[in-house]
This record gives sequence, C-alpha cells and structure tokens, in this order.
Amino acid sequence: MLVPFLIFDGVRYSIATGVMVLYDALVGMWKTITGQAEEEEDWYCPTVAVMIVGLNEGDTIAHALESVYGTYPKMELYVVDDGSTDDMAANAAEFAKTHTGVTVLSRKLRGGKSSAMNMPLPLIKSEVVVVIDSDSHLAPGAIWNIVQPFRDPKVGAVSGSVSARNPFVNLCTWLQAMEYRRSIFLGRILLARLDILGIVSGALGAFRKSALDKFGGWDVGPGEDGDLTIKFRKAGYKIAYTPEASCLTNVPTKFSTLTRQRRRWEWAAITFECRKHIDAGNPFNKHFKIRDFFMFLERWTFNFVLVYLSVFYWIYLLYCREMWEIGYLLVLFYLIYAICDLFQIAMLLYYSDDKLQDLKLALASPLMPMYYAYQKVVTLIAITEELFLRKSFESNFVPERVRKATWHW
Amino acid sequence: MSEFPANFVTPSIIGADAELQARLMAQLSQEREVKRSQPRNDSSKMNSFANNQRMVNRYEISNPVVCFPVLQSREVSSDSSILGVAADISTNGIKLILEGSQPNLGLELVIGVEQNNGRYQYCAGTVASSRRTAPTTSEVGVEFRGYMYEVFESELIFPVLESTTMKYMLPYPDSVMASICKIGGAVSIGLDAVLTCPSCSGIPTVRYGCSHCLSTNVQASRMIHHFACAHVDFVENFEQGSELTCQKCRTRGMIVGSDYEYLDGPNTCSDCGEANLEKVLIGHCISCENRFNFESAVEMEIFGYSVNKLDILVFVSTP
Repeated sequence: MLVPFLIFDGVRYSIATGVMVLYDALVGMWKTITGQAEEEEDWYCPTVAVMIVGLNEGDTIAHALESVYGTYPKMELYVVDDGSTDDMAANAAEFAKTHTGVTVLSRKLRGGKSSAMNMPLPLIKSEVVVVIDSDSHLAPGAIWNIVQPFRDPKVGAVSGSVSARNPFVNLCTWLQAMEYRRSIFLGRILLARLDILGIVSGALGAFRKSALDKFGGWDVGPGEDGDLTIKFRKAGYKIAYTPEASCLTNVPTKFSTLTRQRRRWEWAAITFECRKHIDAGNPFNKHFKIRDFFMFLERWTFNFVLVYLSVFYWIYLLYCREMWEIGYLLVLFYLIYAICDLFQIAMLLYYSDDKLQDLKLALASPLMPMYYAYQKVVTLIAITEELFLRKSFESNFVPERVRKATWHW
Repeated sequence: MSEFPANFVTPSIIGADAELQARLMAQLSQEREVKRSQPRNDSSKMNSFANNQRMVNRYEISNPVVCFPVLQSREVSSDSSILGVAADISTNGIKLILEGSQPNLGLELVIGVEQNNGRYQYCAGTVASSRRTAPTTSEVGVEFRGYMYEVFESELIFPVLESTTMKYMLPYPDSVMASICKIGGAVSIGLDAVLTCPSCSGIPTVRYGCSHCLSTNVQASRMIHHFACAHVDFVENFEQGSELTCQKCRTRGMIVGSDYEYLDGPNTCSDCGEANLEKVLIGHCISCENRFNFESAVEMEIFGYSVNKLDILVFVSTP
C-alpha cells in the first residue's frame, strides 16, 4: 500500500500540508488561549509599476486595465502590445487618453513574451514591478497584498495566487479549477514556508526592480517565469508567496489545449531545471545552496524520477502480476488518491478565502484521481520529448527569428 | 451649384394680387398700343437712362414683379413690398410699372420677377427714374448696378478664409444675407465643417506635440531588441565605440535582422521632461495665440448661399 503512495505525489500535498495545517491550527489555538493578538504592522507602500503584456487581447485589455487602475497610490501602468493584429494597442491607448500614468508600448512584429516584458524595464523608475496577464482579473487589494513581503529586503520576488476565472464552463475547467486551488493556492503556501518555491506565476507576480536590472529581465521562453525565479534564488533572494493577492485567469476549455499548455510547461521545466540551472543543484558548484538543492530535489523527484519510476512500476505489474491483482491495485490507488484528495480539501478549506466556492469545486473530487493520471501521462510524454528531442525550441510560443538566434540549452 | 435648389418655393411674404396685376398688365398693353401709333418723341433723349437703354437692345416683357426697397443698412425691407409688372428689360436695366403714384422706393430695389412656372427669380439695381403714368401707377426705371446688384450677380456666395484672422468670412454681412433669404432671394447651404479655436473660432494650425505642456519639442526614442537574450534597451545603451554590444549577455558585433531589431520607443518632451508620452495633436490659433489640445477644438459648420438669380438671357434671347 505504501508503494503507490510514494510513487505518486501523495506525500507532497497530503502529509506535508497536513503537518503545516496542524502546526498553524495549534499555534492559532495557543494564541487564542493565551490571548495573544496578531501584531498589526503598517502597510508597506513602495512605488509600483504594473506591467500588462498581451497579444491579440483587444477584447480583454480594457477590463484588465479597469481592474488594476487606481487600486494603488504610487503606480505606473505599462501596457505592452507584442505585435497584435487586433485593436489591443488602440484600446489601451484609448484608455491611456483618459487615465494618467498609463503608458502604451507596441511593436509591429511579435517578438515573444520575454522581450515584451523587458521593453518597459528601461523606463520604470518604481521599486517593484508587478506583472499580470492581459486576461487576468485582479481581486480587490491584490497589488497592496503582493508588495507587502518586499518589506523584507531579502525578498526578491513574490508570487500571487491564481484561480480559475471560468471554473464551471465544463468538466475540463472544473478539474483545472480544483487543481489550481490545490497546487497553487495551497501547495505554494507549503513550498514558500519550506523556502523551496521555484515559480512565480506569470499571471500575477511581483519582482524587485533592482534585482530585475541585475539580471536584465527575462530570458527567452517558454517558461521564462520559472527561469527568472531560479535566477533570483541563485542570486540569494527569497521567493515569497501571498495567497491574499489573488487573480482570476481563464483556463483552457478543451483537453487538447490543456495538453499543449502542460507540455510547454514541462518542456520549460526540463530546459531550466535540468539544463540551464543544473549548477544550482551541484554541491561542488560555487552557486550551490542547500535550499536550492532541496527545491531541485523536490522538482526532480516528483516531476521526473517518480514519473519514470511509475512507468517501470506498471511494466513490472503487467509482466509479474495477475490481472486480478492489477485490478485490485487500480482500485486501491484510486481509493488512496480519493482519500488524499478529500484530506487536501479539508486543509484547503482551513486556509480558503472562499469556502463555498471551494466546496462546489470539491464536488469534482471523485474524478480528480483520473485527472492526475492524465496529467502524469502528459508529463511523461513532454519530459521525454524535451529530454531527447528538445521540443521546446520548436514551440511557436517564441517567434522563429528569435528561436533561431537564441541559445538552445 | 448653378441651379437653384428644386425644393425652393416662393416665400409666403410675396402676396401676389392677381386682380391688381391683371389691371396693370392691361394698362401696359394699352400704353404700348399708344406708343406704337405715335411718332417717336425726340425729347425722350433728354433722359440719360433712356439714352443708355437705347444703346442696347430692349425686350418687351409683361411678367408680374414684386419689388423690395433696400434700407440704408443694406438690408432688404420685406415689410414694404410693391407689386407691379415688368415692361421691358435689357442687359443694362429693367423698366417696371408699379402700383402707387409715388411709391416709396429708396435708392436701390430688389426685384422678384415671376417666371412661367409661377416661381420668382430676383435681380437688383439702382433706381434711375420714376414718373407717374396714371393716377394709381408709376413707371420706374432700374439700372443694373450698385451694391445689391453685385449680390445678385453671384450664383453662389461662399465664405473665404482671411489670412490675417484665419476666420471664414462672407463677402456680405449676415444681416443682409438673412434679409435676402427671407424674401426668397437666396437660401443658405452647408458647405463644410471645420475644427476651430475654442476661444475665438479661428482656424488653428495643427502639429503633434507633448500632451503635458503642448510643446513640439518631443524626441522619439529607438530601442533595440536583442533576440538571443531578449534584452531590450535604448540604442545608446547598446552603442560602445563603433559597434553594438548587449549589456545583458555581452554579445558584441551584432547584426541587424539576424541578431537584433529596432523598436519604436517612447517619446520624451525636452521642454517639460515628461517621459513615456504619447504624441497628441496640438492646435495653435494664429488669431488669438491660443494653444490647446486639439481634442478641445470646436466644430464649426461653414455656410454659403445659393442665390435665386434672375437669368436675363432668358428674356433677351427670346425673338
């Protein structure tokens, strides 16, 4: 019974988050019993530049700007149109005419998301750069919340929480919405506590400008947000997570689109975590840090080692066990996963800011084991593609003229 | 605009009295019969106007007319119209038989001549002679000259842009044209719509400039996108000596097209220092020196007038 529990990533979200919730609950109880009040600090208010980068987002850009504009006092707002063929730049310019402090930059040809995000950097004078996707919708107070961890000068980047904006469109979006709550909202609380958070979401992330200047911003993608996060870690900065700073983003409505998206994510993970920044996990390298090693260990274990191990495990089962035993194990795996998922839902509700919504999402719980199995298959295909074929450099996510000129890690 | 608008109708202020005009026409016919039966009277040469008239061909007509005196202000007095009949016409003037022994004509007259279709067309001139021909009628000679004659010489009156004030001005005062429109001598037509200075209605000159201080001293910047490392910065930050060097990845000797591309960067105002600005249209009024964001310009419609002019050639070419 222990084998499936270890081979699949039950440990990551069940045991560890269970310990975290137990700790928080006990501390909370102790404070209640002893009458200790939470120390209230003044709000930290650095100057902020918000950057919205998009391609052909003419329909949503005005809505995204409305959700950001005026939500923070010392704010520059930059819109970068990465060579759209629709009216995105025109709509943003129309907004800028009536709203001061909004700068619209547009380019005639698509140059890729990384260079589009780098474009406003020479103009930004603010201390913190907040990046949001053009189809994201910020929750009230998101900018205020995401800049608070920068009070600590060691913090270089802060990840916000991302939830599905369209959770109940169909089963595909429902399952993803539940996954986002589990792995992003809850999972990143744990990873940030353990100081092994290795990703700052492109949908809502904040970066210290002085640190961005050191690195020259983002490198060529795909997966440029994860790449930059690792560079921050290697430079000694802490990566924080603020679940209170949340944004809603549209998730794919078709499994085919979802598969393409996840393949791209996994390609990037191999490119950056197994090739470009492999030095950070090498104990003999001068950049080696134990916290980075644990971050890589967590990623390598769950995203690569266990994925291939599970393949060998299934081959072993098919050749060495009877069919009834395999059937028995499948049912067992399903039950273990379902129990783990229920356990995680309970923990999610402990931290949740919208318990009713999370309970509705939890109705998809019986299907989640199948969804995770589907994801494991996609991960297996993607990492194999990237390890042996370097598929990431064929991705249309980056324009061809840029792909040809950049380094292939 | 050679033709008068088809929808034009004779204004109601012209109250044509059919009985009166029939009587005047009968009187005119009688006078013509008498003239034809009498030998020519050389004393008529004493009248200079009559002498002038004889230098050109005169054509007998018998169209009903309505006359409007022109006031000192050059406005047409629509309240004191005088009915009558046209006796003859030439390219120099027109002779009228008007109601009243001593009608109050003034110096100039605007004359509406009824056409076969019942509509009126207008001409104007200076009163050259006036004499009583019967107890209740007068014969009036009108010479085609004078201020109002010039108005009716045009088919289309349109405003012109005065170079000193940069304003569209009509050649005749609005009050004069309004009084002519009132009797049906002209109709206003929209010619154009222009954006004008919000303070004085002058036509502004326009240029792109700083939305902040309205200066034209705005410098556009250029940026470079280095493909390999996605670095984007101003061109001057890439320039090191004679070659381009990327400050992020230290690549040297970059080639445009294969290694990097130019991007249009933001604009900066050299006067107020405002950066990242979008160039906007700025108006400057030559007339009042007002400088303003062109979005605040006021739209003004330009009007002209189509003149309901009497075509004299219709009469003179008739055999």
